[in-house]
Amino acid sequence: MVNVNAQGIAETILNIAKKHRCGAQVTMSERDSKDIAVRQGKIERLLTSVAISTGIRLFKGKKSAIIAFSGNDFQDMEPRIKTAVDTLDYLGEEDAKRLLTGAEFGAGVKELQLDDNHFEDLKIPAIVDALKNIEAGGLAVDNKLIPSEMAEFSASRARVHLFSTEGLAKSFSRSYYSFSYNAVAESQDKRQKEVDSWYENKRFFKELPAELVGNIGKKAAEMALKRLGGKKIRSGEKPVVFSSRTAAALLKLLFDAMNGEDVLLRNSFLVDKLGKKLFPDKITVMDDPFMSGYIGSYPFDGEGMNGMTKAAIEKGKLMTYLHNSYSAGKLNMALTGNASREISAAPGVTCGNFYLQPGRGTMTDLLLEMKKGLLVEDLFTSGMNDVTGNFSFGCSGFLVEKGKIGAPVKEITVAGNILELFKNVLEIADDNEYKTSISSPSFLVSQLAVAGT
Amino acid sequence: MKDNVLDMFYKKGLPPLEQLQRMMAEPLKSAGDFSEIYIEDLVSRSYRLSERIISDISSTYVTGAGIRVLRGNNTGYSYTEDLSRESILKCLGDAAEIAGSAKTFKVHNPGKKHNLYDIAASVYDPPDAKIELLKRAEASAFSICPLVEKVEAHLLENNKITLVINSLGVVAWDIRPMLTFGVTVILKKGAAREGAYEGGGGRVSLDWFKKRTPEQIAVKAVHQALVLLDAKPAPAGEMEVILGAGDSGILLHESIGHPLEADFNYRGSSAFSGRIGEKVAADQCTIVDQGDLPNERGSLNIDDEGNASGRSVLIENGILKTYMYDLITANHFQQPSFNGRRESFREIPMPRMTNTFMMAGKYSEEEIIKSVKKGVYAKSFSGGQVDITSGDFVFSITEGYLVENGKISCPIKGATLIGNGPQILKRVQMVGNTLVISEGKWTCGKEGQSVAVGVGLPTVKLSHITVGGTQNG
Repeated sequence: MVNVNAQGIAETILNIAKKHRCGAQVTMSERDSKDIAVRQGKIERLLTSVAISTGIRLFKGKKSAIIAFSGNDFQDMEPRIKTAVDTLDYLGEEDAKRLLTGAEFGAGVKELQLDDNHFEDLKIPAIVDALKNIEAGGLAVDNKLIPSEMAEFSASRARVHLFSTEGLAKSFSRSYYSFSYNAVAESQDKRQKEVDSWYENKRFFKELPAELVGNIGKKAAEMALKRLGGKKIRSGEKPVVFSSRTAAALLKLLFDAMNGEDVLLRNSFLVDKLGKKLFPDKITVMDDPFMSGYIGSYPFDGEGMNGMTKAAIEKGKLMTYLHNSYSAGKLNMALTGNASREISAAPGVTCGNFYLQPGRGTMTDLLLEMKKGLLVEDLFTSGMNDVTGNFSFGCSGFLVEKGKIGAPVKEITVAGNILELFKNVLEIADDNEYKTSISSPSFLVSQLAVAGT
Repeated sequence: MKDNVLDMFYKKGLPPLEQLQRMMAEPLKSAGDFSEIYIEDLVSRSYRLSERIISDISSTYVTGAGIRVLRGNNTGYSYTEDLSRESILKCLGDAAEIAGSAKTFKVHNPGKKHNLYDIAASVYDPPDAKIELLKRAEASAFSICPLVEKVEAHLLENNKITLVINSLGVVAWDIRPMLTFGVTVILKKGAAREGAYEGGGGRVSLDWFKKRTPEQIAVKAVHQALVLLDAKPAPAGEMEVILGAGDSGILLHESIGHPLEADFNYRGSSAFSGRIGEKVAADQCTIVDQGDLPNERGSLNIDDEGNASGRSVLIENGILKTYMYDLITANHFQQPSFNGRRESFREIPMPRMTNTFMMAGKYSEEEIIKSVKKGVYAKSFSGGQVDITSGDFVFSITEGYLVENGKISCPIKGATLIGNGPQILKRVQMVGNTLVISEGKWTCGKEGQSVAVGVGLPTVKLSHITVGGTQNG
């Protein structure tokens, strides 16, 4: 890290704001990162960086303007803040535009085991060897695997500081380490190629031992190989199993619809659904920022408010939307500690560890339960109408016959309505690895419209 | 002008040019082949109208330098937000850690810089005129249709100054303004609600709004949402599809453009790898990437490696002619390089598209519609995704219609198109006689880096493609 005097800089900024009779929140982010990519046994990319950004939200009379800088060069700060103060005159008044009070953002910073302070000790040669192993492990699976893509390592350590004229002064650090590989398989006639990827990620480097990392190449390669020869299938209605990663993509659509700002804009299929039972009892969705060492964890949100563990959906009933202070204020609802941390914009809405409560068993059990249908392993979730929840998603995966994975399928779509889809969840497995902040176990849906030929 | 750009960076602490050039030469004494410093200064401002007031104004100032050392085709990269000699030296040291066998780097001719957007950037002007534009859009949306429930409008403007200095002797700079305007509307009719977005812009000044008024943009968004309110569920299965002129260019960008970026082909991971000279499309298809069009969103006077932008005929009458190159891949394929782009100094450059389109053919749109017995007319898309390796893609239609017996019938909703890039080009049956560039609203993402692009297409008919809807039959 550059070791900026965050508190000193923030105090200077807050004093300039006060001179202009403004309230202010200062967000500073320091981030170090290292990225290494290996292809064909050689380092193809080595990236290092040290970055600092500072965002200032100025508040005056129910109005708020924003100004952001990169780096630690603060020489033009004073005139630039003045320019931003001048823009306040152009804004409309809005009661919900305000700073959180001390009672709202709360005291203390919860210790969540997110920061590995061994970032500086990373040994590049050892990491390069691990990456070479990953690639070799992938290529060894079959001679149809080709050395096209890279094995990659990514590490970062970030420190976040929040200060405000309301007395907010909180900081926390978190680190991140990941190894990944994209395997490419090519058919014998060289006319078809398929790619698949696998990765392992942790907040602490020591949690990525050689036995875990060593398998990444093999896993990715086996999956890419299985996809070769994929074909379209006939259009029709089918039961569908969504694997853990595609189930997470569907769960993200529920998260998006709970975003208080979209609810305010009425750009969500969950508008007017608060407190209603939408899904069967087995659907419980948690938002928990306090899980120790997890990828989605944070002690306080982008406005400095301490995080809150909550069920967003409990036994099928929508319990809450997710808010920053603006959307909560406009909709006259309680704060939920979900403000995202932004530097050059007003806070949006984020989540902690947002996951579907697991059921039992593995994906294999779900396939046995389904007997005949479709397993979706890859899903393009760009085709949804946010307002109605109607969707049509491109996907690929496998036919399932007698509970077993059969021929690969591609270039098809599944279509329907997202509320109907979660209503039709029959079984949920217990195979979530919580690798992303939004994650899910795999689940079985009774039926969906599939379009192929 | 070059002196002005240098002076501006000197004031921020950048060492003198000659000193920088000496510093850049240092890592090449051991084993490096090429070194480069890319310096950037960005000023941007955004305005948002929401909930019937001007709700947000934000200003951002970013300065920094990215330093790159190449050995063979391998990249060492480091960046700093501090332009001092010490910081730049530290980055050079980190970047030079890249190991690998040395190859000779071909000396490259950067070409003559264009002058494609010589305008005064609006970002330095006071807010008044821009706020007026947002209010006009809002008033227009509410007044044209009683079903309008919510209106949100935004205006983004920025000015980016870039300076590239490399060990091949290049010292190149550019000043790049950008303006984006957009309107989102939500309409309510009974219990049904639909939303739509319309936008535009480019490397233009506020004069652009004289030919495309905020009222026109708002009305178009309202129209799209109205169409959706009356739309029927989309059909499912393979059928004839007409791609409307303009916005449908996104399909070309995603499904053909990306797989023709040279990095995927250099690594052999593209569906088009090793296929130059092969027939990959119908005879009528000629596809071009062109960065030197005036004022377009994807246009560049120089790319982000200091080379004058240019025009590439990627596919000519169905034959694959070339890929799009950055310096590394151009060196590998022995081709000229002018598509090296990056989101900012924090990122390594890679081959990227600029403005990508298909050249016009011979059919009128009327003839094309008349030829379809049963199919879908896709007028606009909200976006799409492509798997570069397999070539599989999917696109979401926002405004689309059924076509029955040569006539456009009712609007449809919830439809996607799913197909395979290399296959789809062979299914082009008719190409319309008017090329339309979709104006100023597309941003392309690749490996986490966003850059502004232009897309375009004449009306195109595909013999068959899978439409993913809910109505079987």
